[in-house]
Amino acid sequence: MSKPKIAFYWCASCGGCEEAIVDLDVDILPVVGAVDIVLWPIALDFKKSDIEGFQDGEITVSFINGAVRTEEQQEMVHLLRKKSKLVVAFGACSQLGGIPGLMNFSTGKNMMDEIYKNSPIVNNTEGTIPRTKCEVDLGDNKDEKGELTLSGMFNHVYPLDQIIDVDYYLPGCAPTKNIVVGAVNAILTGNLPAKGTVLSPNKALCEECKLNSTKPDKFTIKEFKRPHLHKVDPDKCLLSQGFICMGIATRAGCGAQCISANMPCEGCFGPTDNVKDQGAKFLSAVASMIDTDDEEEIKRVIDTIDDPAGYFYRFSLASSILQGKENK
Amino acid sequence: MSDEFEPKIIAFVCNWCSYGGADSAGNSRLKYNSGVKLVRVMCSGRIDPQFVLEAYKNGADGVLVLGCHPGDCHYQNGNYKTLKRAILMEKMLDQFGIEKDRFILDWVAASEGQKFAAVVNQAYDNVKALGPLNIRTLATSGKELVNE
Amino acid sequence: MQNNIGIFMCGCGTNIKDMVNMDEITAYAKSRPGVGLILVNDFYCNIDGKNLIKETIRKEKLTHVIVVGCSPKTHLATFEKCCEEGGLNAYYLQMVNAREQVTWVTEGKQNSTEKIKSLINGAVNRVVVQEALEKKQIDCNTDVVIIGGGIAGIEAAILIGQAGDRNVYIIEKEPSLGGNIVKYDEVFPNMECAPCMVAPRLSELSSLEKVKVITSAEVQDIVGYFGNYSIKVKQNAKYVDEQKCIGCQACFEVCPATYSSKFDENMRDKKAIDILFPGSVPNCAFIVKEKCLRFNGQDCTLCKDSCPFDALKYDDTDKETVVNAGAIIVATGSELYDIAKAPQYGYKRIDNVYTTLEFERIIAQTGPTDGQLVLKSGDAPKSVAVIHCAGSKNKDHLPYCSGICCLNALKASKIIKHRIPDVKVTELYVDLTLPGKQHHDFYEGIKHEGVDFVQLKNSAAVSIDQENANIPIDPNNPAGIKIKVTYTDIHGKTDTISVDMVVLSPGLVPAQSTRNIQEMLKLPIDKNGFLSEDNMKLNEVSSTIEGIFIAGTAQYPKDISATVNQALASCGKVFSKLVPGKKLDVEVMVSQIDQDLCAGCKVCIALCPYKAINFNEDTKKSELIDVLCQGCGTCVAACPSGAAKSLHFTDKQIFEEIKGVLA
Repeated sequence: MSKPKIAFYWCASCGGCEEAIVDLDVDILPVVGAVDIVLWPIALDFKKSDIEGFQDGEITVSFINGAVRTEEQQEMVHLLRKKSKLVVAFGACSQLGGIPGLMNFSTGKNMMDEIYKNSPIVNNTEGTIPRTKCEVDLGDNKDEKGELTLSGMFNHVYPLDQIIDVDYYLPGCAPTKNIVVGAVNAILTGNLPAKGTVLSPNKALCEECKLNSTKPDKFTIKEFKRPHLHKVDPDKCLLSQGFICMGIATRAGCGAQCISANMPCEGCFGPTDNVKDQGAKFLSAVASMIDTDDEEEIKRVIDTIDDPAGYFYRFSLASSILQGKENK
Repeated sequence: MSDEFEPKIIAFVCNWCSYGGADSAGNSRLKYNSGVKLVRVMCSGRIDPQFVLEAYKNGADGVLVLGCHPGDCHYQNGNYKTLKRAILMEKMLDQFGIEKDRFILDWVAASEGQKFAAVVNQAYDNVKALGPLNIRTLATSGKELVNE
Repeated sequence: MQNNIGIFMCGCGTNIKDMVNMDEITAYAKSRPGVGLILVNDFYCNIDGKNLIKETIRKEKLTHVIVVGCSPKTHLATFEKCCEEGGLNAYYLQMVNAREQVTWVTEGKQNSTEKIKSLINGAVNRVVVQEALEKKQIDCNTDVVIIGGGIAGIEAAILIGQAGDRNVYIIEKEPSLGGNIVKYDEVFPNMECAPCMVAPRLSELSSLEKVKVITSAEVQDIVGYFGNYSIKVKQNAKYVDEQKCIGCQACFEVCPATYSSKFDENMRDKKAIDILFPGSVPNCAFIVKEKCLRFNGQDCTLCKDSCPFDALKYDDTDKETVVNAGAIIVATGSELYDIAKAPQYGYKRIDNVYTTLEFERIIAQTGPTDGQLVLKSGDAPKSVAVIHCAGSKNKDHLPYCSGICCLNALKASKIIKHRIPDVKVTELYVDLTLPGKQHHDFYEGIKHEGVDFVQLKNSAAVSIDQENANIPIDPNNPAGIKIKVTYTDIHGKTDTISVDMVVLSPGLVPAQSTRNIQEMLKLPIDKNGFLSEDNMKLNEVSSTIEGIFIAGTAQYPKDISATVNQALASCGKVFSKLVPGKKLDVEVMVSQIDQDLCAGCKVCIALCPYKAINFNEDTKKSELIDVLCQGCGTCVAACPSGAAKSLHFTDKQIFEEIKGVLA
């Protein structure tokens, strides 16, 4: 009997999720031995036509990372969906939109202008931006012209499940070793939970955080702090010190690695199941803990959060209720 | 049917004060536009920011959160939590391009029919002047390209 | 099971029916998914209407009911009852407010029609995700613990004890009941003899079988919730057997050791075996261990030898007991503000400057001077200044008015004038606070007795110094030292008077015991530290924690009659809520914290004004005590992981209502 086929694909991503697979290091060997990798653009030289040649559902599982923002990515994920039994959204970008999703606070046009025209290190006096088609010379004969096409970029960034049907989610930026290994084993042994499950505990990060026991019963926050501007006490709950730690509104599973390195959680594992909008829930919790009832004082404390939308929706903007800023 | 923009407004009201204020407005036969619809909760402290966002997403052009006057909350101090959340919400909604006049927090007692009608009418007029709220999901459902 | 929603459209006479397009509404409503039937009727709130609803529920086997009509604030209870009587759980009901919030406030029939359609859509969406809820009742202990044996505690214990239907425990930290009222000789405005007033009450209390008096005792810990409290009490040893001692005082005479009597404001020493005052309840002596020779190593048995009843128990030990009760009345009272904190008044710095409470003990017959109004030298004063508002209405000390200090000060003048008719008395006041049935007459009477009244510019505009401060005190002529009272009056004029004695009337602050209990129970306090009431106008005797009541000056300074009123009112609460044989009704629409989802982030704990959420150190999760929960849902809105849920106002229900109303 042939080995199960698995595919890896990347959309709008940083490559960190590919690293996460490599980071499995020795734990990857038994997996590699047990499966047939049929697509992995960063590492192996398979082509789109190879995938097109499969039967529908012939691929056991496709792990797709990155958010969807181009026509090419849209086309590829649809193809993989067709040809796969299971599709797993791998990583925060795929599950939530991730960092690329932050473009939804602006417009694709603004982004193009920033990168190709307004950036201080770019010299682009003609204002050239990538286009979906352009005329090129064919061969040496300057009279023969052809059309080169490039994938169009959408004005909006989408998490994977807004484009195709997703079976499971592996959260994280990038997903941590333990949950990836757990997921792969579950798939290979057929031991999977209900469709749509996020394959990480359905609890807030505080449960895994070693600083949770130092938390007072009452938060007395009188100002919020940014970690590069204040000394972080490594032995006390970061949120209780006033650092914006998203752990309370973020799914567990990573072992609170960032907090162990004295950095507040940024929320990359996304919200727990019962929460629709991670940013809004975090806002609700953190506003509730401001330690004053005087309106002027409240405003002063809130002014110490310079970018609420950016902090609270750092990874989840594209999958939040509003999905982004009004697209004017 | 007029082509004029008729805003849809959702007002979250608390059972003890502002809902009573709305009823008082009714008892006094004060008028406000039928585009304003009320959703009742027991305390304004119950109002999750997710509800406000969900209202915008489903077509509300403006959202009101109306609770008891500070010091009068039936549940002691739920309205103070509402106040804190609302102040932070307003700051954050601005980053989403949602104008200040589209999110109103105010305090209305059960006997304040006049105030209820005034607040709601003012909100309605302000939102009408701003025009419809075009949130991002509706605008990009066609997967518009930026670089054709 | 298939949804079968019944929508009952009330025409409400002409209030709705004539203001809308009924056919359009009913057609629309019928088209909503899950809707089985629409029934239009003129009135649903009358007998026929209600019966129609009940019968229809049964006949059509409705799974959900929507009543489109007036405000739920008018008739929600009515229709909930119809559902129950029709065999349907009341929480499958939703009302649409089509009258107060549509027809009465909307211009135009079509506009009203459209709005009602939207609201019906919202109701249909919401009602199908509502859950059945059962009314909850819990067993409860109807016994009562009263913490504090002052007049508030005494009167509460008597009232409850007289009913005889439950045990009542009164816990007092001093060796005897009485609190502050037993330190007074006379009380305003009628100058009644305080001991004569209190003695029969103490006697009554002692006679009540169901009242258990626990003195020399302090509360160590309180756990539980309304209906089910466990109170750990530590009773300090008296070293005298309460059953045998009759208070004959034979042991006092022979005792060689003394202690400084706190009862007498440390103005005299008493024997180290003592009774607080004649008529103490219990009428039992106590040994002051710290000063007793025997307990400090010496082999003294003088008291035991002198006792005709063999009541001495040297091997007595401190006892810890647990008392179970359903309700707690906190009556731990207040104390005078320590006026030494305001050096301008000369208290503890200059001789013959006294507080009103020290004054009470001086003029009391059982006090340190046997009731003689004398200076430290033993001579009678020839002139006295009585100063109101000492430290009060002053942002550096007490920013508030305690309301009774003016009357205490006036009482002092009256007493001084009666004891020493030709003494010169000057009252220095700021504003006169004289509420009460006869209190203004009381003041007028004192004015006629030749007491001078000077109105100060403000409460800080007075200072007290020794005249000729540099002259050393001549032990042969100590009465020669005069006190200089310098003040600025309301007209801005500064002046001084020379007096022998000053009586300061400071305000009240919460007693140490009040502070201790407050911390133990985490009772909310106001900005001055007094216990917070549930509602300042309508419910001053309940704290915000269900089952804990407050009475007396622990809640705010007040006089004896107001204190007793509060004590009796708190009993009323107890009698009404904790009925022997009946279970306690508990709020149905409470919040819940799913223990499988809670990660113990602690965001919710401090948010609850009812202290209904505790952190369980063993499970490391937040636990909600539903008996204390009032269902506001603030914790649910704040819970960042969605582990908290608000029954009948769940996120899902509200999202569905929002979507439906906007569609």
